[in-house]
Amino acid sequence: MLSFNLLLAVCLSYVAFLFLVAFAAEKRAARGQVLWLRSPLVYTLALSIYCTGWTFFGAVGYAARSGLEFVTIYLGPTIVLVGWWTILRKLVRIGRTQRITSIADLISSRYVKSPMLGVFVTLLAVVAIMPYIALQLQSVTLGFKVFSPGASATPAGNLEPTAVWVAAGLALFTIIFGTRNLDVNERHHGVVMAIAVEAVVKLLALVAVGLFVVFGIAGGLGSTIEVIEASAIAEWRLESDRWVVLTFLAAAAFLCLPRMFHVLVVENSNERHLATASWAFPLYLFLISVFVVPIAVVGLAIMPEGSNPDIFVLTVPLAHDREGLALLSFLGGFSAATSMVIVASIALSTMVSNHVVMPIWLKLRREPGADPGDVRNVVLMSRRLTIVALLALGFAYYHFSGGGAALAAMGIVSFAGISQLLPALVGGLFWRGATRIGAATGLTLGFLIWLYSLFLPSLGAGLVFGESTFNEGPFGIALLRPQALFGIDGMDPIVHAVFWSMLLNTTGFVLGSLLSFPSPVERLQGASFVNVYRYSEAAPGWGANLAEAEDLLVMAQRILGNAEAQQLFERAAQAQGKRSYLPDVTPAFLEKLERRLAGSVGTATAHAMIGQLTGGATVSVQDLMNVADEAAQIMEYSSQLEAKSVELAHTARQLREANEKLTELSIQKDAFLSQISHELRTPMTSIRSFSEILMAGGAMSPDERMRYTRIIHDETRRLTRLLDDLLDLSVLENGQVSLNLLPTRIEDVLERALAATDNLGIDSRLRVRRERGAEAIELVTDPDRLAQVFINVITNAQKYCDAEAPKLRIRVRTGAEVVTVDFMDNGSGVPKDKQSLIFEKFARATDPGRAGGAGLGLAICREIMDKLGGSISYLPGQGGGAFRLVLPSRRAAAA
Amino acid sequence: MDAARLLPVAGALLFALPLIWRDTGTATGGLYVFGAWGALILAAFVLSRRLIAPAERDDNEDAQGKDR
Repeated sequence: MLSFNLLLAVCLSYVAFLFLVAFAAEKRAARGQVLWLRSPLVYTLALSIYCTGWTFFGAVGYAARSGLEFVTIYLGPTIVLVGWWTILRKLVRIGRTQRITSIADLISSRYVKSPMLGVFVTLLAVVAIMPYIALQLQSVTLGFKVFSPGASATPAGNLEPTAVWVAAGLALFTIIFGTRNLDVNERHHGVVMAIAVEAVVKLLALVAVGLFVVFGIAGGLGSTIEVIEASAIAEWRLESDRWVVLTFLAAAAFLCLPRMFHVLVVENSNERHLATASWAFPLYLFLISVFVVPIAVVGLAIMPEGSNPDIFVLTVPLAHDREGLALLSFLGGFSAATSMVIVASIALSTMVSNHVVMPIWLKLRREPGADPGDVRNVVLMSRRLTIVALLALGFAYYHFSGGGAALAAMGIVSFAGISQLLPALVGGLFWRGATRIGAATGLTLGFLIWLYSLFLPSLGAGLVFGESTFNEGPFGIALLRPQALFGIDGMDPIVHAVFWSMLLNTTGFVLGSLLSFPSPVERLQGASFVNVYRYSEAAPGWGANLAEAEDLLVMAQRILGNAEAQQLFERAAQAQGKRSYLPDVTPAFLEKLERRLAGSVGTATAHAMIGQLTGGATVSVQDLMNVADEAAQIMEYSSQLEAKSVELAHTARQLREANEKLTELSIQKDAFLSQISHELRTPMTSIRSFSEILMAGGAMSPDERMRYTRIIHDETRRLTRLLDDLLDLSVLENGQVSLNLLPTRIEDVLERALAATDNLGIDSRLRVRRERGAEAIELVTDPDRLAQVFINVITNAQKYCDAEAPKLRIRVRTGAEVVTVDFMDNGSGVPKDKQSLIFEKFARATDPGRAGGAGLGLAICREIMDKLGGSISYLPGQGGGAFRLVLPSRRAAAA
Repeated sequence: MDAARLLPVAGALLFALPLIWRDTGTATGGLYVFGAWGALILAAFVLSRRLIAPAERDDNEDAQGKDR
């Protein structure tokens, strides 16, 4: 007989070996060699945490009690995996795009990060898992009992100390295994590897026992079938309702169990691994259950009446003195139980820390005076405490249920509880109309009915419900009997509970969804789940509950630019005393980062972004509105800026033009001064010289004296005229002129002007052609000033027209608002480069000597026309010099 | 792909078949269930090969594209 101490030593060394495996795997992963660790084989083996102590010990017991019914527990998952293309593929894709960390995270994400839903799912999972953990404790404890001295004599009650030690050991083991590091993706290479090894061990152990039983005891395949036919379970007594319900339950639980979800979705690194698992995992289940019936029937045949069939895998080899095989078998069962407890605790503690502890902690942190602390420590501590609490709860269930129940019965209670998540899960994946209200209603109804009709009764009569409650209903209400709700009696308790809970759960879910109205964000989230294949090519969403510094850095780089963001992170890391470039994600750092980002993208956006990354806050519609408002403000601001910049450019252009004009004017002023001094100096010189001659007296004829005197006189007149022009111009330019506005006929003014020019006595070879019919226009203007302009223009033509037979054509046209008077001669006109200058003072198109004018004429004309409300301009392209005078005609109408 | 969607339905029907049997022994019933199970695994194996083959070809082409 194996000694109990030896068994303990073997267990401890096995655990140490698992640690080594996990450690090596993590080392490899740290070096980036994840290729082998992430192979489909490891993924498939890791899925085998579905096979727990229940499978290893319980299945044989189940078969010994109810025949072939035990296979339903494996047929359900087989159907799910074979149909991976429909559900699992979608689930995994969503898990990856939304960075789902647990089933609670998935459901709360689907229904818009609803914190209440997350808490509720977590609570449900914790309660539902209690019988399951109790099952593992019971199976390992039973295993120890088999090897402990005086096994058969020990009553069941004395098992409890062993169970306490098993629970404590498992808690310690799980804490060391699962919470050493905090990975944001919640992926644990080491744990997965260790589980894969355990999967191999338990399969080998069960197959070894099976082969021993079939070939060693029964004596071959044929005789095994004979043994089956001769056994107590030979009769085909399938209960069809149980068969269907249990298959369904197993399929549902396979999807919904937190640990299965963790391995299936969270630890999945490649969708293609599912394809391999779709046949490989059913094969694993096939292999592990193929020997169950033979072991059961052989156990029933050779073991004494009343021995526990749950431990046949140990007792049958021991009965044949195969201690080595029994030890291997024990290790297989130990593996099955420990791997389940480890992964279930990791998955559940993740849920508890992310959905219960973190939100509360974050809320408390906002209170003034609270110690900021470190998120990581809080998370790790909460996870460790959760693991301890989970095992304590499992032990409590074990204690209260009396430790005598069949393993499979305990497991089915768990399955039925966790399956309540199925409508919300599947509905969320395939139905866009599913809402938070619907999910909450369905879950609540299902959970309550499960609690009432299955979980609490499973603790046995007397603890919560008395015998009378079972038989007559609470307070004598027969309709509410826990195992015969609504008066429907005679159903199998399991079928009864599953039927009512799933029916009301689904009905509540559908009705709640149909009757409630989803918020816009919920619609969006629903669409992104249901149509995940369409959206999954885009950048992965931020759904992780703990922001990784790297994610934050990536985001910050997009907003702040690479150099600045890296500097910010590096400085924060230094401030935390870290040597790396990435700081720990502390609240202080997050606040700092949010402030910094807010400077670039606005407070609401920054808050929403950080909130998304940290999962600490929900992006509400309000947040989105704020983001939109900010965007609108920024757009308005930028359009204002644009308008301003256009205005600035306009002003700058005007300024530049003004500057050019000023420069030009300054040059003109200099030219004007030198011009005017020249103009004054020339007549003065001749006046002075001739008056000196006259003063000198001397011999001169009266003719000569007369000539000299005339020259002096002419020059004086020229000076006077020049000064008159200057004065005139200055008066006009200063706007001091007073106009004498009268109703005037253009024809009269022209007559006066032509008469005046004839009197000037200059060369009057110029022939004037007029269109007298068009000239009979009356308008209100200053006739004297207008005549002055006409005279000037006509004089110009007289002076400058260089044609053989100079002609001047005067054309008057009446427009809607203006009267134009064109003066066109047949000379060579004004050269193009001078056209813009002729209206300036002292500007003369030809050399100054010839014309004898001061060059002020056209400048004066322009000023006068301005004052009259019209304009004068050079009219190019008329076959000679041409000026156009424009006069407003409205004044005539007004007059 | 349609075959992949139908396979779980086929599996469910296969596993539901024993419900309508009468007067069968556990041994025969067991052989049937495990036989059906094995057939299902085989079908899933064949299908999964076919389903991931196009995806793998795409990946290879992508890799070659990058090399070029």
